[in-house]
Amino acid sequence: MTTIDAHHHPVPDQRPKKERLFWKNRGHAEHFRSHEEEFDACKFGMWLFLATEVLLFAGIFCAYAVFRTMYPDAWAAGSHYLNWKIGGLNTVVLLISSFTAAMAVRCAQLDQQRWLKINLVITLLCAAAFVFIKLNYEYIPKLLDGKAPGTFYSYPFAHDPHEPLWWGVYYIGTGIHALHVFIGAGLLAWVLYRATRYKAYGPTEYTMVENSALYWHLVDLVWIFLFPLLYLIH
Amino acid sequence: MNDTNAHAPAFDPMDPHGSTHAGGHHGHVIVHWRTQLIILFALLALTALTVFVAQAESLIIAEMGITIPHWVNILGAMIIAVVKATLVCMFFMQLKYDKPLNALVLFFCLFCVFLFLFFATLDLTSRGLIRPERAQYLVAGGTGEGLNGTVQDGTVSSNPGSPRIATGGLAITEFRFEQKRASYDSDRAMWSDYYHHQEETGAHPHRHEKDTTNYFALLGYDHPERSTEERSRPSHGLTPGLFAEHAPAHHAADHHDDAHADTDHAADDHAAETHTDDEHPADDHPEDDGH
Repeated sequence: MTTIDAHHHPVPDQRPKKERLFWKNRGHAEHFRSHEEEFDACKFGMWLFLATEVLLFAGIFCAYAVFRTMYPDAWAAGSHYLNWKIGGLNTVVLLISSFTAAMAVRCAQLDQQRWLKINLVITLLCAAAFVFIKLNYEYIPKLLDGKAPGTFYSYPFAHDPHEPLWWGVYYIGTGIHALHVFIGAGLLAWVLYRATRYKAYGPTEYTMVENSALYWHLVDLVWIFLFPLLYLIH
Repeated sequence: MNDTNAHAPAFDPMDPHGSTHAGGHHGHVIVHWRTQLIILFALLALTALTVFVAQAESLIIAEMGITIPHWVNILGAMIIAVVKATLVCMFFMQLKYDKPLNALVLFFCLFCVFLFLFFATLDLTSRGLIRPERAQYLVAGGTGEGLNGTVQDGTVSSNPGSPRIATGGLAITEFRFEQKRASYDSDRAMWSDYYHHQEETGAHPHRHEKDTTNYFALLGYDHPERSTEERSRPSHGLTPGLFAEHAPAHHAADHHDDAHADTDHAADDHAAETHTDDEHPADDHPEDDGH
């Protein structure tokens, strides 16, 4: 019995999951004419979703631009509190992870199972490093100093009365970005699990790898703009 | 029906991906690892470049006293960021090899982002604009407060999760400063702690504007290497106390452009120290003259 035949005869596939999910045994959903069409539809759907994600961050960037125009002194003082070395290190970490995510897609396309897993592990380690750097060198020391948004603000030595607003934009911008890091890492961990357990991805079946990698690149893309806006522009 | 298990190296219309990995097949290009590695190095180099540009600008301002217009800093950083984003989209996200439909989605989305930013900027930058032919019809509306209106009390009642703080009409930043000040026996002890903490965490301690007695110099944190008898280094930005006598006569909006020239505290603090021994520069903070 083949997978494609299984669509025509609705008999449940009795093989163990490990075999069913092996990439060579995967067909396409019956409302698509071919695997190719399914892949293209999935990827297009992913891009539509990414567009909404870009618009989500656009709101934050817009808030940044508006408040920067209104309170340039607070923004100048705010970026002085941030250390560009930490932000730069996180940029490098994310760029490397984006590269390994792209490599993971390539390895799936070429059926290099071992390198697929290695690349995914490196990407996940980079995600962990990013979160660790962010928490340990930025969020925790700053919150202990009282540099918190809005009425949570308790840092006594502000240079400008609008600094709590800067911290609001900073925490929302980097916080929603960090949330995306967690979601992206979760997706890639799921891919790693399936690749390890079922050898689920190969030349004919890598939609999940591709779309998870796309999501991860979006995380990178947002950081490419957050880094200069928050750390470098004075 | 073909068995998907059977992997013929030749093109198979029922299994278009096959093990024949996509060489001439449209849509599924496998990007060479060397291309991706080159892109990675290009991205890392551009990151270094954008940091270098920002650092070089700060250095030129601090060391040579040349004031670089603020938009140079923003434009430079944003151009490099756009180049980096383009590389990520084209090669890592493979838009270069994809169906153009996906790129179209992104472009449409970016057009929307442009609309957001464009109309927000248009609004903000034209608020002070009164065209002469319309001036006679002008009616004061809204709260009558400009962008630099009085900072209201920090109590937030609409959000039950927020801590309720009554700041007594002070901005929360001022309120926290006064709180801190009250917790110390003397101002000297407070500023000593502040500069000590700054020295521990940051590279060079900078004199704080609220330190009007100049404990910065009294406590010995004012390193005199910036201006010497042999060489005086010009400073830039607003000198605290400069506008003290002709106080808030001019329009608040005028300040936005010149105010952020004084972001380099190192150069400022030096300029400040000669002026502020018996003046009170805190009175004329450029953001405050709206009220």
